[in-house]
Amino acid sequence: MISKEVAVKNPTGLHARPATLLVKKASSFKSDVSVEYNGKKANVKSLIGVLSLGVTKGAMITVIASGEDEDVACEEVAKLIETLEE
Amino acid sequence: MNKKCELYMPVAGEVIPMDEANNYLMDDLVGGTGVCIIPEGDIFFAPVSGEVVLVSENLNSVAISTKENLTILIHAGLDTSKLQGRGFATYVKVGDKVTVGDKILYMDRDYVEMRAKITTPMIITTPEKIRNLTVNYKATGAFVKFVEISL
Repeated sequence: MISKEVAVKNPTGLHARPATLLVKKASSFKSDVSVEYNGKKANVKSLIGVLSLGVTKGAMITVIASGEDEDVACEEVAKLIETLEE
Repeated sequence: MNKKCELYMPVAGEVIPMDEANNYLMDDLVGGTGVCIIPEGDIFFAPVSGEVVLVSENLNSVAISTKENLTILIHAGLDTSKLQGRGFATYVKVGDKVTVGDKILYMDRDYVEMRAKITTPMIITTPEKIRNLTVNYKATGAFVKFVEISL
C-alpha cells in the first residue's frame, strides 16, 4: 500500500466533472485506489463514492493505492487531482 | 431471475439521449449510463423509491440507491457546480427513504439558464448491473414511467 497527500486547487472541488475524470483514471489501474478526506474514505473507481466526500477547494486529501501497480496508480491519480483546473 | 426496475420522470420536460447533451459526463459513459432531461419545471421528484445516498455540497445533485442496488444520480443542470449552491435547494438528506414522486431538489431554471445549462443528466452509476435499458423518449409529463431497466 502506498499513499500520498495532495491539495485540491480547482475552484469547484471534486464535483461531477473532475470526479468523472478521476474515476476514469483510477479505473485504468488494477490496484484499489481510494481517497481519504475529513475522516471519510471513498473508492475512486465509484463516482458516487467520490462525490460523497464533498471535497471543496483548498482541501488536502490523501490518495491511497494498493495492488500490483500501486506506485504508478497513486502517482497518476495524485497528479490528476493536483492539475485539475475547473 | 428476471428483475426489473422502473424509473419515473422526475420533472416534466423533454427526454434526450445522453450523447445529444454533448457533455463531459457522457464522453465514454464512464460515470454510468442514462438519459438527459430538459426540464420544464423547477422541482425534481424522486424517479424511483429508495434511499438517498448523496446530496452534493453544491446542492445540484442527489443520488438514490434502490432495493435492487442500482444507484441513480440526478445532476440538475450542466456546469452547475460552479454556482456553488446558488439557484438550488434540496428537500432530502443522506439516509432519507424516498418514494417515487417525493420532492428531492429545486432548481431555479431562470437563474441557472443565464449562467450554465439546465439540461439534466440522470445517470445510473451502476451500469454493470444492467442487462437492458429501454427509454421512452416521448415521455413529457412528471411522474410518467419512462425508463425500464432489466437486471
